[in-house]
Amino acid sequence: MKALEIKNLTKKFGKLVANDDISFTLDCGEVLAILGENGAGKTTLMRGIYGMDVPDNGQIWIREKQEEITCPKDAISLGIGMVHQHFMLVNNFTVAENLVLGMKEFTGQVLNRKEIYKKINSFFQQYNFDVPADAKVKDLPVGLQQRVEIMKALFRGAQILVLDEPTAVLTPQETKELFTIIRKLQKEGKSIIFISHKLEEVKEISQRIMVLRLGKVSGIVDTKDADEAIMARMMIGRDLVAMKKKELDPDLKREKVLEVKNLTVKDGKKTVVKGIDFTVYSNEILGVAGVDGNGQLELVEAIAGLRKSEDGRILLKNRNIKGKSVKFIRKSGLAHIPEDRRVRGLITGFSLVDNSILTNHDNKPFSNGIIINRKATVEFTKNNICKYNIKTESENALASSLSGGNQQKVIIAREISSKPELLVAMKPTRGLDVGAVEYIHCCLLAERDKGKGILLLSSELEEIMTLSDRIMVMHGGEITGIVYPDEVTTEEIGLMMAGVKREKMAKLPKEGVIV
Amino acid sequence: MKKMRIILKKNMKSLMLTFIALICALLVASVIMVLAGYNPLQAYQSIVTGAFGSRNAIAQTFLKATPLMIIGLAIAVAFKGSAFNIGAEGQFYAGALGAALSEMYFHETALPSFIIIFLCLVTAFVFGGIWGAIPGYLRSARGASEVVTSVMLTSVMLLFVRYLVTQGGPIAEPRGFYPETQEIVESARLPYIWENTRLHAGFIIALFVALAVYLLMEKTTWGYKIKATGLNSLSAEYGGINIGLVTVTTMALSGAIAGLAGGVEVLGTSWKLYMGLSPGYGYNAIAVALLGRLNPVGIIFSALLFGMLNTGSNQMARSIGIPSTLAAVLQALVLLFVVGFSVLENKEIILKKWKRGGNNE
Repeated sequence: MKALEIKNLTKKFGKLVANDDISFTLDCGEVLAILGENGAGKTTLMRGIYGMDVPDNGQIWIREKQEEITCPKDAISLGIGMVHQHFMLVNNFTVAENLVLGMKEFTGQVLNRKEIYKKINSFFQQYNFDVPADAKVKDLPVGLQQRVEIMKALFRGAQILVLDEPTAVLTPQETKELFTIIRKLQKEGKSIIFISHKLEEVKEISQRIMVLRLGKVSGIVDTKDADEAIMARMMIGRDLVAMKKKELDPDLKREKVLEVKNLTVKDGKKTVVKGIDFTVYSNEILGVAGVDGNGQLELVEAIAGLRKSEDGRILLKNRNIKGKSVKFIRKSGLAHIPEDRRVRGLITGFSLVDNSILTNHDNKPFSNGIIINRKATVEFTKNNICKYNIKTESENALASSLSGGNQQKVIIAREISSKPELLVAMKPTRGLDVGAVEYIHCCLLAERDKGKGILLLSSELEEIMTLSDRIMVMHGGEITGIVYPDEVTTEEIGLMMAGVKREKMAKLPKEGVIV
Repeated sequence: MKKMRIILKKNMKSLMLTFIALICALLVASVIMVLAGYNPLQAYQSIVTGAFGSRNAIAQTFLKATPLMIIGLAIAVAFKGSAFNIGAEGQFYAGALGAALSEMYFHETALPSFIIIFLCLVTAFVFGGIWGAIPGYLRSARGASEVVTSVMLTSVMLLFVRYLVTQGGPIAEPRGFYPETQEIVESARLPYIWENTRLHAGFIIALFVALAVYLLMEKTTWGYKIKATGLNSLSAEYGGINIGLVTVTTMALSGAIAGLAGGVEVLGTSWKLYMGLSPGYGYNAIAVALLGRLNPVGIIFSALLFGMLNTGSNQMARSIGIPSTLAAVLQALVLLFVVGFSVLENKEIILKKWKRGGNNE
């Protein structure tokens, strides 16, 4: 039986057609993967099915019956459950409270806690879910929070489960556990829509794959017949260029670019970076792997001068930069691609010209310290637009009018052109489509080959694995390992991400002579 | 050419919104007037003739617009930097006090008139600047909301001025008859710029301030820093801008300009300092700044509009007997609609700010 059938679904936002005439079916007990770049329309499609954005056109059939879904409540009552990319949990509530939230029919007007906990615990046993029902959600690790979300959907009687990029926040081990759960649900006859942009994952878990591109279905294939190259082409409309890291000269002279010694950083009262030591050398990309929220952001902010650090030392080219102003640190040779381009990296209400001088407006030739040299700034921006192929109406367009990838290019152009010694890049490809990702990776590698030191932080393990010369893994504010990428497996890195410490640390780059 | 188009496009929305706000205000005011038994068309006509009907009327309109324009510019500077200076009234009095004190110091010297005027205005500028810098400092060093502190400091300054000028006060006029300072000497007065009217050089100063503010905001790194901090302080910080310093200097500059308005008022219009020198200029100027979309050119026109409403509604009260309270209602409506519509335009920014504030648990 078909659990779900979508017929000719179309959704427009103004001029943008987010979903264009999409049709597909989902069988009972099937895992259907939906693959596509960012902005391909995956999330819009799911929001349509879940009643969050009502489609302009098209039909939704559930269990062979046409249904109207105008709000999530309709969807839930029809047995559709959704696990969003960003969890919809109340952090200060317990697991049980989150599960029954909004379910008046279950709890009645007056909450009987004992009764509820009993029922929920027995519900959990049914799924071998061993989280105490009275634990607060905020105290749970991300992987478990996600499972609470899944439980929440099942508790509401979901037969069709939509998982929107569920693995984006998980370690490789947690991903495996998630897959075990998905398979179990599948055996029970539940149908699952698994959204992702990672090819390997999709191949592992799904029976069929639907590829979306620019809002249209570019193909539906059986997973067993799927070929990665073909999938990639369906996804981005062209072949992927295999990235190649340039071999480095073994006699290369290497200097210490960034030296971090016994650095401790606090977030409020909590110590989030706990006395860590590492060094970034020239001609090197030091990748930092770790699940989000393990001290990476605070580490970067401490290096960039945006956050006070407690103990320890930070040396940039043998110059102390700890406790110094952002301006001083930048003058000493730091460039920084921040985690969130809209929150830190750009001023979206400024034009591209104004954004291009955000970090260097006090320097020549952009100003003499008092008067801005309009001609020089415009010329600089035009050059960047041309050199980095930034798609924009003009250099006077507002940054907010650009797509994410082009916004990121504006930042990268600005930062790289400051000719830094050290480039700190945090999630430089977050939310970008494959083409833009490729481009940014090339930029980073080019900087490495020019002799810069690069500290690259990312939650995409694959990105870290392909780009880094050495990989440093962080967990709970500590370094659990520094390794060479060709000497470890993803699983080993996953273990380090989960907190298992490695004895031998790769303190030095593999090739080259330290001077 | 392209740039021009973009600028035009950007401002088109502002212009349209302002225009709609004005129409709405007039419509609602008409309803009220009809309910009160007056003919709104006649009323509006008498406002226009009252404000522009004669040489004197026009001069009066410009005269009324002068302090509003200068303070409006002061407020625009602060608002651009997300420093919500609500205390321009106090800074205006601080400046007026500065000008009055400095006139007392210099009036017996034989300095040429323009030097005395210049020194008085500089003092006004500095006094206002200090009064604006305090809330700025409190915000950047202590995190105290400048909205609250600047309003509180307004009360402090008003009471201080009252103490100084009332009978027996240190700078009250010697006869001790009225609560005001002695009239300033002729050489300290701003010259008239239009024969047989009271319009003085303060209006030119106001236009000059508008030009200066425009150049500052568009051409200098300081202006860039103010705007960057105002639009997104996190990005500004990331870009190496010292946000605390920008906040203090923005507030100081805003206060200084408002203070200059006080100086101009004393030297040009009132010739003395007293309580009630400002009929709420510091607050009305917020509306002027918002109506002008924080844009110097816009503020010139919105200040003129308010000057016109002010002058014209007095005339309306006199000529057709509509109580001036109704004129006040009209002004209040303009204010209300302008502020209301400005929310529409800055929706994004305000929402963001609110969200950020809400996250600080």
